[in-house]
Amino acid sequence: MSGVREVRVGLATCGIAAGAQRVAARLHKDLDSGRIDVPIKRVGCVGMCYNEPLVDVVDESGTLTTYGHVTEADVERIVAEHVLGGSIVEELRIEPDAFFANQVRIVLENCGVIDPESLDEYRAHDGYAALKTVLEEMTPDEVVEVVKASGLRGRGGAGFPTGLKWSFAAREDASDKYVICNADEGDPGAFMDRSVLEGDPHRIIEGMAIAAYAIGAAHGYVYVRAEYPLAIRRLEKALDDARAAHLLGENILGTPFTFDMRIKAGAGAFVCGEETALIASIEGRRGMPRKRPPYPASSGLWGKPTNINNVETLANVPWILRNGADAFAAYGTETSKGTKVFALAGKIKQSGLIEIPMGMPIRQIVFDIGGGIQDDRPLKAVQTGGPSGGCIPASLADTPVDYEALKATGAIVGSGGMIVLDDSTCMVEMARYFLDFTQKESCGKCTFCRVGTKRMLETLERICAGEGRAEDLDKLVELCQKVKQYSLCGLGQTAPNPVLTTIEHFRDEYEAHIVDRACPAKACKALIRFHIDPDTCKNCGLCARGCPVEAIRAVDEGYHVIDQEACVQCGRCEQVCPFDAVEIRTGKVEV
Amino acid sequence: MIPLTINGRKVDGETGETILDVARRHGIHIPALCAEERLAPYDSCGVCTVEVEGRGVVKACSTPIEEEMVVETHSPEAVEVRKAALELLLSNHWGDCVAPCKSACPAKTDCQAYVSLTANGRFLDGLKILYENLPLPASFGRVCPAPCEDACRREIAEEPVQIRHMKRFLADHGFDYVPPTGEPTGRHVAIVGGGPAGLSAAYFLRREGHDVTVYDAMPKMGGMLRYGIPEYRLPQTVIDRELDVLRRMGITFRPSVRIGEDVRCADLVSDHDAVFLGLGAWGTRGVGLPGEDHAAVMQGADFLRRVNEGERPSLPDRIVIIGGGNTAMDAARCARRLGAEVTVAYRRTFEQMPALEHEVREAEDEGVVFRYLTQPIEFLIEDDVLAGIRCVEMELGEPDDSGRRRPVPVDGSEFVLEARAAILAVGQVIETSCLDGEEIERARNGAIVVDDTTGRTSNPKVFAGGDVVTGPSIAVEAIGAGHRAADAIDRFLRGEPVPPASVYTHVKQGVTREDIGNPATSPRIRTTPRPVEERVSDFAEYEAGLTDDEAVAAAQRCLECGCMAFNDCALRDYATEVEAVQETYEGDLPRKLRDERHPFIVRKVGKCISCGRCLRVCEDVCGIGAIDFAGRGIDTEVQAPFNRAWQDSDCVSCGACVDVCPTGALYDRTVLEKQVPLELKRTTTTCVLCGLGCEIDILTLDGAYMRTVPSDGRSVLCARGRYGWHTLGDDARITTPMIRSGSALREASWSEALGEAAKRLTAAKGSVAAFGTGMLSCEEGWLVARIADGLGAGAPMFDINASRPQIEIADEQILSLGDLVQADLIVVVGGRGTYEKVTLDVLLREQIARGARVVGYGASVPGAANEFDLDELDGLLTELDRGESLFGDEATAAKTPVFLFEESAVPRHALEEITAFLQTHPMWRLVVVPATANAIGLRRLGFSEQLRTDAKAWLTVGSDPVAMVGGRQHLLDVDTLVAISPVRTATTDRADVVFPMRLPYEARGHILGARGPRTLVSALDGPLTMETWEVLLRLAGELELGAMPWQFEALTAAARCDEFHGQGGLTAAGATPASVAELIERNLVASGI
Repeated sequence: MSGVREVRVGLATCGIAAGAQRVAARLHKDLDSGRIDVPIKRVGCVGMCYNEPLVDVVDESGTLTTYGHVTEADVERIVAEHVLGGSIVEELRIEPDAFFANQVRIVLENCGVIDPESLDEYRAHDGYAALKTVLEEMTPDEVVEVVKASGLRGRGGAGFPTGLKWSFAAREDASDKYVICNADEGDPGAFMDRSVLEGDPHRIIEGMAIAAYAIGAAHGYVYVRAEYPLAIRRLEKALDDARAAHLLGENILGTPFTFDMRIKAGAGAFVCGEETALIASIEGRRGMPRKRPPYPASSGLWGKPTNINNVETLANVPWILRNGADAFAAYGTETSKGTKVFALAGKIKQSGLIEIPMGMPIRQIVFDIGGGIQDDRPLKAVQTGGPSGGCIPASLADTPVDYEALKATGAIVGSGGMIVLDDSTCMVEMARYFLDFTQKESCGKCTFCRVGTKRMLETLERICAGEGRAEDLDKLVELCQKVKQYSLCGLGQTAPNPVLTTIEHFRDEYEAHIVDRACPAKACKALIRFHIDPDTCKNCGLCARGCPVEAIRAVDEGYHVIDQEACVQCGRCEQVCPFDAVEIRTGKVEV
Repeated sequence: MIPLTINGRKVDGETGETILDVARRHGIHIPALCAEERLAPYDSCGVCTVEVEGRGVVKACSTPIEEEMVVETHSPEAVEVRKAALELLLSNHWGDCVAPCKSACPAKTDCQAYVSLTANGRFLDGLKILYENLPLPASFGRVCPAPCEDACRREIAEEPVQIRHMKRFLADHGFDYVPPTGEPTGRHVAIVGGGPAGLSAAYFLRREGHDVTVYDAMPKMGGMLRYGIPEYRLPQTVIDRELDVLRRMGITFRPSVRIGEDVRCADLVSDHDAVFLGLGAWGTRGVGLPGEDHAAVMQGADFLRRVNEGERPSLPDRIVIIGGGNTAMDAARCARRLGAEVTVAYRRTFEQMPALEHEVREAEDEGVVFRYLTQPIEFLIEDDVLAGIRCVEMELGEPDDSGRRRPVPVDGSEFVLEARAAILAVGQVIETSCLDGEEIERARNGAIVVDDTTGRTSNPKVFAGGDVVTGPSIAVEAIGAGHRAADAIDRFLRGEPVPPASVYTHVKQGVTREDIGNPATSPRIRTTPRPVEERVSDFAEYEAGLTDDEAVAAAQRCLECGCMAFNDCALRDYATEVEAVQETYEGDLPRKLRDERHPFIVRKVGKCISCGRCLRVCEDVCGIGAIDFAGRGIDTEVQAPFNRAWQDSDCVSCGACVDVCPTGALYDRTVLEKQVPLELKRTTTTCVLCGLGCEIDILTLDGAYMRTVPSDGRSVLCARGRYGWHTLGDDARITTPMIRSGSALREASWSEALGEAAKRLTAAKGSVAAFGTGMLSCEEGWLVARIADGLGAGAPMFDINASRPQIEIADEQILSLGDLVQADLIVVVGGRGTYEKVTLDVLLREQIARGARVVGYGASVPGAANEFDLDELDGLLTELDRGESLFGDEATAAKTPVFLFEESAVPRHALEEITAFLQTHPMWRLVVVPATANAIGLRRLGFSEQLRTDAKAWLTVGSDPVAMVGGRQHLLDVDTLVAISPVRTATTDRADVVFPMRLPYEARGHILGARGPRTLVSALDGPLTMETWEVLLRLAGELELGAMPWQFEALTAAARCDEFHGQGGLTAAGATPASVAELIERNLVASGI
């Protein structure tokens, strides 16, 4: 062999979806046959989802070479040339420097690096060192103080100071207390929590144990979506391993501290991410929120003091305890410390999972880390916070990612969804999309959310369908404000955000839909028409053959025309036209 | 105490109370839909918004009070949010507060109610409902154009319900019904005009107790009904009959008095407390054509009046009627009946013709010829004779103001229509010159100017309505106007303020055939007009009414649109309060059909506002949790698991969900086959179906049972108490005395049967056994005991099957059900049936909530700390003896432990074990729920469980000992069996003499129940005039048993048992039978009997 230490294959859900299983199988075949003799390690998501499947070859010197979009055929070359031959396969190699250069890895420090199913690897990367220190050297109050001093804020979306939250549950005098890890990641397109659970599950166990010690709890739950089977499996294995190693159970690490935890698989209701609904769900009731106060810190699971933190929040905890509050607080802004993980998606060149220090301007994320907009189209807006979030227009792209700064734009940091939009995105349609999601996920309890979001959605549907009415916008804003103010829980209170921020920043686009019956982004089917430019058309007939409804025919003048009555706006003609003769028009038909 | 201010009022609250709690306790109104006092704050509906100074708008139901909080319940901001919440709820509400037919009726007759009552065969009730809003039902049942039928939802499927025919049917049925009049007020109102408006005002004023005199210029009352509608449609005899009803109500008619000539309006005003003017629109108008003044050109109204007055003018052979309204049809058909050839000339087409379609068709059938698009332009008079009518053909042009296409002449199309006479039926006009000089404001066309809602004229004592205000319109509009004016006059005369605000009324929009459940096709019942040849030869009524069977079948087609919660809907009340409208947030509607799978509870899913009260009361109060929300978002719906029928879940049919529903989404079925939204009479009484003796309200329609609800609206009844009466048909009722004749019973007179019974019982004196049901009142029980004593029968016996062993326990150790609140440990022994247990469970759950520990032995109580099998009771008692317990320290540490069981549910061995235990453990107490409602009272009257086996004669009162002794045939070897019984039983089948008896809810009296003394109130009329105590008294009299209290008042005053209240002796088993009998006797002596 030529000095290769190990080969890593990204086998998180993102990698598997891209075909990493076949890549791994191929490598194992070479290993089994004795052709190669290096460890092949499954690792979690490293973040470069746009390059999956990913294979890392680590040389004896520790030099890491990353191959992207690896196929089975590529494996043959990598094995032959690099693993056996010792020379890097340059054509397959990707250069991740720009992607990682601006990132800071705290939460994701082990993701894509260690084998998530190996306790030993986790421990080799300082795993459980923080827990050991905490249990042996610190009082619970001291732990709370460190977390307070770090400035860590809840990463689930609301951004409540974690140390303060712990102190509430800690000061409750009760025989039983609970810690709950909220892994009910529900935002469409968000997978930060899943990646951590799949890539570094022991980190969550360690974070929860530290939280439990700090507040005085002996029981914990991880509430994880049933749609995350791999995360559940890896977490289950991690729990078994941890118990076997006396990292869970009675007298952990030989100290008097006793703590154990179990997994509760949630059935995938978005609202169960809300603390009180999540608690109801664990208790076996329908996941519906209730009014706070009382807060879970005083009356939570089974009526006992309960501390609930999100996965990412807990994933920060071991690092903070290992490296100190100051080291964590060194990252970020005045009010928002540390890093934040984002699932970067949308019309971006390099989509994936990123971790950035708080305070990084949006522009830098989009262009430096994400590599800019696909097809180099103009940036229109960035949507953060998922269905609860809002849109930040390109004009505010220098806004730093910080709880307060984002809030000032009407958006929120949220749990970490970040969707980049270009000029082909219709903002009305996007608001409609998110509202459709929240409406369907409303638990149905309170009037303003259950009925209000439905009426808002119907208004948006009408506008997108070209049936908007002059009074719609004002009525919509008024209803949004009522829903925001008077809904019972965060779901309803934030559901209007995508609507309100798009109306605030893109009001002209709404008005175009309503007044001019035009969709400026040319995205709303009811408002667009496909048109073949007679001068550009070469009468090749590709469009007519591709049309699924036979709406295109040739005319005697020597070009093709589209029958607008029959056209279903599928856009196929525009895609197939080799001469770009098909254009999309919107707005009222000029007479 | 936490002081705070609500609406400027200083109030005090307790720690932990919410704003809503405090407001409700102080009688301050805050609308709230999801909040219910027994349930934890739910915070969902958003209606209870109030404004708190410094904090803005908050929800009162979930906001804890704070020191010196300042709350405004109706600040503009709070009301705005409340209104928005209500309007969002309304935007997703699928229902009709009132049926569309009723909404459409200008007179607001309750169409659905009288149709449905007809469908249920309750014709007289239907007529009474009809009379509530319509003084002339037989007339309108014939001539009303029936806007109700245009609105009828059945029309979406096929044809509307025959609502008009239903009126005629009910009014013609032959009931001698005269609507009631109120207490005389001493006020006198003059009505001018004896037509629909005037008669309506007169009728409704008379119902309020005012004196009313109706003046009319014509020789007979009825106005246009009499003089404008031909006899073949509305016979004069029908009008006469209806006027007779009004006359019998006390209305005075003064015909042939013409206002302006015989009497001045001003004089009427000064002679009466108020005046109503219903003058109608009797003026006629011409068409301004040459020749129309000729005698051969008649006015339609004049023509019809003459015919209706009995004239039979001889008409020339060819007559042309000009016009297309109902008057034209009437004139045409009358002219046909007078032998003329009739042509109707109308300037537009059939589609635009205002006459009712069936009138046109019938006229055609009778040979009337129609010429459409024909406009007369000149009456051709030759030699002073009408020679013809010059006409021009028309075609339809652009729409005019009425929306109909305007007819325009076709050039050169003139022609002459043959005619020897013509009748102008082009409409009538208001003619009020008789009021000239009076101080009553009139419009330029002569119409009296009135306030729309009150009918009040410029003179505050004078009101007006009907055609004289609106111009010619349909008669039922005049009925409505007369009613509104009568209400206003009544309030005016009573010095009450002007009318209440209009009530919010929700309407289903855009109803489709699917929405009405794709009903099976069921066409209207075809009524058969008399044959054309026959009917054109006379003026007799052209068509017969519906038969009983036809009317029921026609009424069965009703789709029951109106909401059963029409008068009891918080959503409606609150919407009215904030003037909410359903259109503010329009959107998709939950077009759900009725769920009628449950035998007693009907769900109108589309009306559900997701307040969750039903499922929370089921879970939190009843401890059952049979239902929950399913689905998400707007589709969230209350369902039993897997959307099965509710009764296929853990549902015990207690109906608690129905009671808490703030809208009409859940309601109880009544005993009627077709459900009818009606105001029902409530009678509070005591349920006698088990020993718990719950307070109930029986809802009745005209003395007939409809349904049962808990009196306080919040107690939980069991399925038997609430819905059990469903099964109590009256098929087997005994209604007359009977005497055995051979192998059969024959009906007999009271005196004959009493004589026979007395003779037989006297003969067996000394070996008689008396039986009484445990539901007998103390009054009845005392009389049974007196009779038994007189016959030497010893103690009367219960009809309970398993005789109860004697419990030898000190009085102090026995508590009543109400004393459970003192217990800190309750050991429940023995279970009840699935459906019956809920009531006791709720009581026990209240104790659990209070902090008591409940343990079940052979009893399952939701929320109980422990549950054991019954056979483990032995072990418990042994361990308690040793100072330990199967279920931990709480049992031994308890300070006030009790055993609780029901007589009928506890096995004998358990009872004996407990009895023995109690004797050695004085700290333990016992609460026994008796087996029947008045077991305690009857025991104290000396009733016993011991069966007397040597009797030769039996007297049974409401009990069925033959069924009870079952296989022990030798016991049935008696010579005489006298049975008093409400229904046929095994005992009455063997009896020698049978007397009828009232059922419990038909009877009056008192009982001494598990919860103390209770009153039985007769809620149902039943088929019997004689009460059971009277039957017993007469029997005692026949037996010559000495002085008896012959007034119920004396008897009942003696039997009220109040003295027993609070003595701790309200037990199933007092060791000393403190005698109710003694008390009754003492009281009777005291009252001089």
